[in-house]
Amino acid sequence: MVNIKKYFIEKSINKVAIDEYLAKHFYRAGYAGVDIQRTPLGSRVIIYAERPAIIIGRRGAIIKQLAQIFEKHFGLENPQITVTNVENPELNARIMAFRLAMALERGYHFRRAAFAALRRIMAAGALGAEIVISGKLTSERARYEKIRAGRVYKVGQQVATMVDRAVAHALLKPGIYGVEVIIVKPVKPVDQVVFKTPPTIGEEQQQTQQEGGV
Amino acid sequence: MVRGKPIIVIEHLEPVLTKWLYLEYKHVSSMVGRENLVITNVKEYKDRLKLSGLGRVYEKSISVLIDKIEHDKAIVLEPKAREKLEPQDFNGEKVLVIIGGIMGDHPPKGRTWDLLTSKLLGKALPRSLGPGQLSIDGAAYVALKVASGVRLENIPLTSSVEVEVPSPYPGLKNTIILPFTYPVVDGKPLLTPGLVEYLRGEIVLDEDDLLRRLRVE
Repeated sequence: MVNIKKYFIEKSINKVAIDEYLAKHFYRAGYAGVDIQRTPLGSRVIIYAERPAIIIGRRGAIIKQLAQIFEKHFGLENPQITVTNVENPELNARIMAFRLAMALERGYHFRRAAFAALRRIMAAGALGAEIVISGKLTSERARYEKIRAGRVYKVGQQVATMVDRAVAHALLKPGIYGVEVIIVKPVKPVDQVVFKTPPTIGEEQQQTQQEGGV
Repeated sequence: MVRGKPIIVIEHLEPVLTKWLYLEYKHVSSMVGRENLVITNVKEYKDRLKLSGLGRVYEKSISVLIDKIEHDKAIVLEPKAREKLEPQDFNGEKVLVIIGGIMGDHPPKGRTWDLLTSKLLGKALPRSLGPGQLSIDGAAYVALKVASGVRLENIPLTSSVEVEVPSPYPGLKNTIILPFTYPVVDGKPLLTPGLVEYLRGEIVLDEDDLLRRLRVE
């Protein structure tokens, strides 16, 4: 009998390995995530990225290489790769974390870069966002800088449904900076309570008449 | 047994003397007095000049100078040391307390051992101040407290400190978290005087300058 648990765990580990591989190699392309589906003909791999052209390559050269890598190293049968654009990159934590890490590597001051990223996220309609940058410069103490706007959920069911979290690393000469981005997506939260104003007597009468009452 | 005021020796181990580091040295100087502070291993002439107001400053390392400085006992504060600092360690008229002038990593890299303690084996007794990583002035404060007869476990400490920084944009909240151990005095963490103001303003300019210099090198 096939060990069902083992089968699914292996599949998930494989998916994480593919995700890590793509994140490592395509973070400059604004890599956002991967979805792997099994089809009767083999497997369908959907890669989400901000700039799909970089992943596709000239005349699909990179995508062909990727198909070979997926087949050889990750054991996917006949992988059919599709690269799609991310609808709203500002609301994707991974893209924003990679963007911020790249800005730091280019030499922007981390506080300024984080403020710019946070304002972009909020302008895209997020309910809340938090950026934590940790690390140290030569002759300065290691520290965490936390920048927050709006409502940020840390616990509860809403974290699973509304919150997107990603971590990226920026390698600078004085050391490594860790970048953590948490985005609360613009979805109606469960804890949102709105107090309705009670209708006046006249309004109530009109409403009842409209509904066909006396 | 005679117990005098200890002499604090700070071995400067950072390549650059930043304002943060200077503020911590200055705080130590204000605690022990100029005559009881020795800063060693300061390679740059301009840094020696800048630090000369805080205590005696030397270009050479304490590992070379230890035989030349008159003392009864020498203690090196080492986070990896097995034995904790005790009031009995200060029995003697002239006790040197050697502190590594290091701005710590989180998690700690153990640089004090590599850069300082390993060079003082047999010359100074390694003593620990507990599992937490203290700042330079925090370590000096705790050492002075122990020297005055207070046991290490009776000195209140806090594990991390949060500093609110004004945000340039309305609606955004900016906090700096310092993941280090700080002694608590009157219910408040003993932060370096001037550090909060520095973190709230000047640090951005200093870091820009530092990043530019490191890129050029």
